[in-house]
Amino acid sequence: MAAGSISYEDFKKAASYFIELSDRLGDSWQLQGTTDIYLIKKTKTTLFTNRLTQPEPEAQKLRLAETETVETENTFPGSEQRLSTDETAQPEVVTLAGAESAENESDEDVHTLSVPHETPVVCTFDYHIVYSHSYMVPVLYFNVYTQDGALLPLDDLWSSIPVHYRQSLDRWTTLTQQEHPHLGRPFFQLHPCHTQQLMTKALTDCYTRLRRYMVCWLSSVGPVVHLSMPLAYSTSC
Amino acid sequence: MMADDKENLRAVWDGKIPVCFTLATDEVFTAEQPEPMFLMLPRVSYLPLVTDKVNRHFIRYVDPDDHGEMWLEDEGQPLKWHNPIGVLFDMAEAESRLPWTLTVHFQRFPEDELFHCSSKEVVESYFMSMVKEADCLKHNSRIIGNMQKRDHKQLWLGLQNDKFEQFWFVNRKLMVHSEGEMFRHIPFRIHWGDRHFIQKLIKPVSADGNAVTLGDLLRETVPEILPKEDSDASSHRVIIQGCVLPPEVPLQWLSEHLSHPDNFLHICVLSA
Repeated sequence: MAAGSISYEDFKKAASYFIELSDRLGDSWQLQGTTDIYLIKKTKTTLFTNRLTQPEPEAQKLRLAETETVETENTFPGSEQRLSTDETAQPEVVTLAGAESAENESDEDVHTLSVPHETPVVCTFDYHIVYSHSYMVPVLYFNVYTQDGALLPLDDLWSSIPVHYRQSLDRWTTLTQQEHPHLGRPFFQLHPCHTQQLMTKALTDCYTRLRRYMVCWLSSVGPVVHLSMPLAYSTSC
Repeated sequence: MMADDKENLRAVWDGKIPVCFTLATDEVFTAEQPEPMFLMLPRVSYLPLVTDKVNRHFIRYVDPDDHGEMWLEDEGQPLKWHNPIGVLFDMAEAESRLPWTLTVHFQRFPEDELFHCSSKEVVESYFMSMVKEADCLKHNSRIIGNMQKRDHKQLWLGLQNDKFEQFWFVNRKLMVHSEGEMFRHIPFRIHWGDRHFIQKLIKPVSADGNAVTLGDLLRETVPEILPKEDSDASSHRVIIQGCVLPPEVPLQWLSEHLSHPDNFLHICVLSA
């Protein structure tokens, strides 16, 4: 088997280690399926975006909801620090979206230019980790829903991705809608074609390989789509 | 590529389906009723690549202030444009009701069933993800990884513009296998009813060196559709590219000759 990939049997082991860890840290990952297993997690995150066309009264409601729900759902006990640094390390409040022209301006300008147009939108992120038999690696599938149950469109999703990822990734090869292999419904997929390579570089120590596989992989790819990993994961695995 | 191979591939590429498009009656906004529209659609293409005209024709009849992305429906079933048109047609069992009549919608996009398609780049992105997965299965991503970006583009433009020679100039590289060495695995998807597709790892040669056949693949993936030992009658039909094939056909041959442009063999399972 190629370095960096894992067999389905090993994926199952890695997944159960990961669930154990998630339970211990008070995170909410859950195991789904019986013969073909996958992992799921739902979390609420506020995106600031001026692309979304929310009617005014709705936007006001969302602003209130933000403080009530997000705080509780995204707080991990004893895990103030995050694995990654810079933008992705911030709490799940993401300022961006459609402000591309403003990004090139100075920091000061970004604030004055974008704030009046931005609407905070509470979104539910539905993350699924599914094993790909073709690529022999885990793959991150996800959907983002606004409060009225509508899917966040690709344009909004792409513009909410932290800018340094957007600069280094190709939009059309990174994110595509795919049929969820177990549910058959449309889900966005972070394309797995570089995962094997990534994991070859990331994992050299065979002894703890399976224990660390999921944490290592997810903390690398998750921040692209607002899934940040508490530091406690890497110190506990 | 052998000469007769080329004829086969050309015949598969040229397969067309007569389709009649009508606008959903409850979405007609104008006093004037729109005329239906007739087109011959290539089996190997994708709906968003060949329905620009349909969009332009019908959009004049809907509420200008209340319409969204166009989508198509066949007898209550939204059509998943990400499957090749021939696969949608075979799954709809529409050969007995030609032309295949599809209903055009501009409202109530069923986003829990269909992928959004705001531009042809969305189709390209999905198509290339399939080609990459197929090459991962066949050659451990060796061929697609060594190709230039312009080869990827040529493959895509060949399909988009219905140019057989342009497409196959690149695609034959993805179909290579040296003498005695076949594909690592056969890229295939089984479509059956309204459930999601079935995909497994199947090699073209068995451990004892025999060619693995279509019958072997069905026994491995969907044993419940095969005739019971005490009866000859099949409860199901298996269709690839519109054809019923004998179970003894080797998978390697099928993969090279009857795959769709996405390099997957799309196998449709229907009730007999």
